Amino acid sequence: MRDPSTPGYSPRAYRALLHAYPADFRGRFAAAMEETFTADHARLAAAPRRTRAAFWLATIVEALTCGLRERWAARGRRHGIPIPRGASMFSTLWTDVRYAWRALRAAPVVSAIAIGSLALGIGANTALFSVFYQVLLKPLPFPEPDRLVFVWNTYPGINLPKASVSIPDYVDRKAQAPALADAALYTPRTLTLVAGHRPELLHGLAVTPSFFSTLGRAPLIGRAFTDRDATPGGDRFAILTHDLWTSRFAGDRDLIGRTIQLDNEAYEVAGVLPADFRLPQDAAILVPFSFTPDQMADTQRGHEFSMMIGRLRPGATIAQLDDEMRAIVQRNLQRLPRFQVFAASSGFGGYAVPMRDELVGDVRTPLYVIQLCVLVVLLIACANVANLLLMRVTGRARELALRVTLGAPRMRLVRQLLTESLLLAGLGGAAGLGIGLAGVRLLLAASARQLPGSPDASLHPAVLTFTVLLSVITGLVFGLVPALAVVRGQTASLLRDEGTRTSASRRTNRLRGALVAAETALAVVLLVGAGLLVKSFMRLQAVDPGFSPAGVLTARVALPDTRYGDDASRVLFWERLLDHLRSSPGVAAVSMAQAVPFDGSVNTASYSIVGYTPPPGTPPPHGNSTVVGDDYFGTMHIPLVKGRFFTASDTAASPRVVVIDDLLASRYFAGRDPIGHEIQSQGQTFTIVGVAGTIRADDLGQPAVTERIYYAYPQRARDAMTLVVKTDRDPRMLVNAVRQAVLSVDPEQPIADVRTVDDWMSRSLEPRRAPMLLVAVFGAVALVLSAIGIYGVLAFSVAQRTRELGIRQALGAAPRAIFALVFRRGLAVVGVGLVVGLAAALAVSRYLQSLLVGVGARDVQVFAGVTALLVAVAALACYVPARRATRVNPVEVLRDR
Amino acid sequence: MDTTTPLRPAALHVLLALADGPLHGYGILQTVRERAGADARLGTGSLYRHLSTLIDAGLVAESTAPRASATDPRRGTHYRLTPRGQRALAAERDRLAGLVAAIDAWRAAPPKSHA
Repeated sequence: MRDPSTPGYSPRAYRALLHAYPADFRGRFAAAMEETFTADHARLAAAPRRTRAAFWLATIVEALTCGLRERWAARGRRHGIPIPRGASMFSTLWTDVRYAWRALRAAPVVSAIAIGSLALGIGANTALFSVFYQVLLKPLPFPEPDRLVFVWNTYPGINLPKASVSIPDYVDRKAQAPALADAALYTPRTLTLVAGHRPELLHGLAVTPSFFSTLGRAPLIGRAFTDRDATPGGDRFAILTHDLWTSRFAGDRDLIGRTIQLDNEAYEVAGVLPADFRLPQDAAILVPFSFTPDQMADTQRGHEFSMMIGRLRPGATIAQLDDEMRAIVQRNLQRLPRFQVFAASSGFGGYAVPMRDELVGDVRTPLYVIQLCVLVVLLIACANVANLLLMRVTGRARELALRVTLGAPRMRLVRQLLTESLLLAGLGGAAGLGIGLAGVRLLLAASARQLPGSPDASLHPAVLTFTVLLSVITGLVFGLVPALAVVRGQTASLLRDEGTRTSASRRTNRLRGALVAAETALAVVLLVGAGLLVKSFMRLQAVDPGFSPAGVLTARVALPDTRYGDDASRVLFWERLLDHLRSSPGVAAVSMAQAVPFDGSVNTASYSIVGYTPPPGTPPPHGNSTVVGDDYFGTMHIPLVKGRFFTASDTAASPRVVVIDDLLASRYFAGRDPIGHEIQSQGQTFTIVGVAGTIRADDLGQPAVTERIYYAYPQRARDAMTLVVKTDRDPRMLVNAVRQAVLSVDPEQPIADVRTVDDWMSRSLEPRRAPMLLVAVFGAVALVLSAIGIYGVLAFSVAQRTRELGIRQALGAAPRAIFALVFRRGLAVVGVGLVVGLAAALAVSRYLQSLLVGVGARDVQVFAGVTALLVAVAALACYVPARRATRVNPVEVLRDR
Repeated sequence: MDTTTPLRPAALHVLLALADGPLHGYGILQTVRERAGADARLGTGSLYRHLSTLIDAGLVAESTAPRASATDPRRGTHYRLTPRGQRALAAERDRLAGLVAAIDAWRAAPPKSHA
């Protein structure tokens, strides 16, 4: 930018500014002012840049305000109206507002429709923007949040683009990547809290002490973890979230330093997090993450169960960090030759993503799509109100034209009309704010779980600003249409045409038609979007996941090490629990699994097939692994393709066996019988005894891409499993029976996540359901608004053409002909809107493709359906005014003349 | 605007600056700033707006009397107080003095309710 203080530049700039003043004032003072200004400006030659900028800003503001006031005063003189200098602007503004208020009251129905439309449009925008702002725009509650990143592993070669991080990866990167100022590692951990009599399973996070320094925030009370807290064996400390602290410990400040019982051990409470501390994933409690030397050893590479966050050094970029991580991988490969083959074929590496992007994740696109839809609804509301105002201006043409004839400056009328529009927009905005606050509650109730960062329904200043701005802008947008009509003198021509009794000028009519066509087009675009999403959702619900979710209840049971230290005790617990449940009334089948489909957990591992060597350049097999109880397949109705499922005779002592899914069989045993072949995993060899059907377990919208291996529980016992109960009744009736059964086996054992599989699946569909519902609602609103628009225009045009229609009837036109005349005009407008809307929908619907399953973005059925719906609604909207046109009484019309 | 209307503070400052004798625009600006200190946010734009009002009201007159340079005919446009302007300044002084006296009197014997 050029420096405005350059000699020669400033006088010219100032001279340009002086054009804000009226010409006669300029003629009198320009030269003297320029001279004075130059002298004044010279004083600042050596001043700092900021002072000069402030000086220029003040000069510009002053020139504009003084200039406008001079103009205002000069105009008053010219028109011979004694406008007092100074207060005049505000006194006329007040007059305008009072006049506008009277004008709105004079046509209460029109005003109510206008305010209602605006309130709907602005309210929907306020509600959505409230969510939009909190999820996408509000800064993370940490200092300099832009420097925060997530760091992931990646294996592009084995279809695993994003993986967690192992402890040695973290240690390497924290120490060897200069782009990182700080970094932390955390891993989810479930803990049983016993406070009072009730055991409760808590989702917790084990975090390295650097967690707090990386995020840059300290606990609200107490202290953060220190390195000493993270000593293996001496790490029994806990930091509570604000929620847990208030809900379970009544916000007791003396809790710090005292102990609580977690997993039957005493943990000292070190601190409590602030209420707005945003954890990277849902958790109620933090404990130190301590590593033994063994856990940091190279053998642990590939054991990726932790998440890594980092804070970039000031000025460092993500690209730099990625480069540094690549260099670390290279160094490690040279040091550890046995990783070379796998690392090279799988493309192993690390990458960083900004923390906000990671946390916002998948909701970004849907939120943008919906925000866009809502703005479209507002545009439709604007078009409607513009139309209503245009009609009213035409209705008031006589009054306006008379005022112009009597010498009112045209700008004065424009100001008057704009004041009316802004008043309307202000009222609509106020009502919209109320609707918006109610709407955001609804929105959160429908989709809170999809939205990261737990947005709340409170009114943020940014949202209020948005609503106010939106109201003013809408007021100006729809207010300009009638105001321009006045400026162009269309009203004056109306006076010549004997006011409202004959047809309005062709131009205003065409403008109104265009507005209605535009809103029809916008409604078509929204309805097509809604139709595509609804159809996609219906397709999705009809997808066969490969198992039967009906009547299956699940509950998470995590056996603590302190009471169940060995596999035998765990196996015993489960045997007793399953036996107990099997005999309960209503239970058809019962089993357990490491994870149930759609519960959001992913557990993949590399394995090898005995006798199979991956061709050079292809990575070794990598698949889902699930540990299941013996009747899991029967309980879930997963079909047997070949061989057998697990039985009670597959125990810890019997030969190790696995069941594979059809996908694995076809991938590695194409044309051969996999039964009897062996696979190796974590140093153990298993014989394949059966092939199960492939199931979809994480995305109903896509066929499974990763093969699955099932292990028998007694041969691979784990501490945390999910109980699976099949019933022929409503599974929710069994919740209490399940709880009682667990307590009867172990009174101290809590259960968590008691939910049906249907519920898990429905949750997995929520990211698709919420946008679909929203777009459908907005589409419906748009349809109603445009129907009102069509009706309004036709009704008004019938009223305007009363005389013409009366004469036609007097001259012998049949009512049917009159009806057709009006009806055709309405349909013509709708037709134009429909064609434009369909074309626009064709052009933009492909942006929805990523949200669609089993439906093309140009689905003929949807486009045809929307067309039919729109034509039907439009015909209804045209019918009423067309009927009224046939009822015009020619005698009355002509007598009135 | 006549001598009985209260003057705006900035206008009063302009009149005051001219009380010592004719000045050019920048001279007025400097004098006002010196007298009023940081309170006077007077810029070129508002100065001339006030001058325009004061000239129209007949309190100030333009004079091209002492020219600084012969090349630029406008250079050195000066402004001076008219007799009417002097009266307005005096009237304003009396008005303000009356106001101050009233406030002082109130301070000396404040009403009981305010004590």
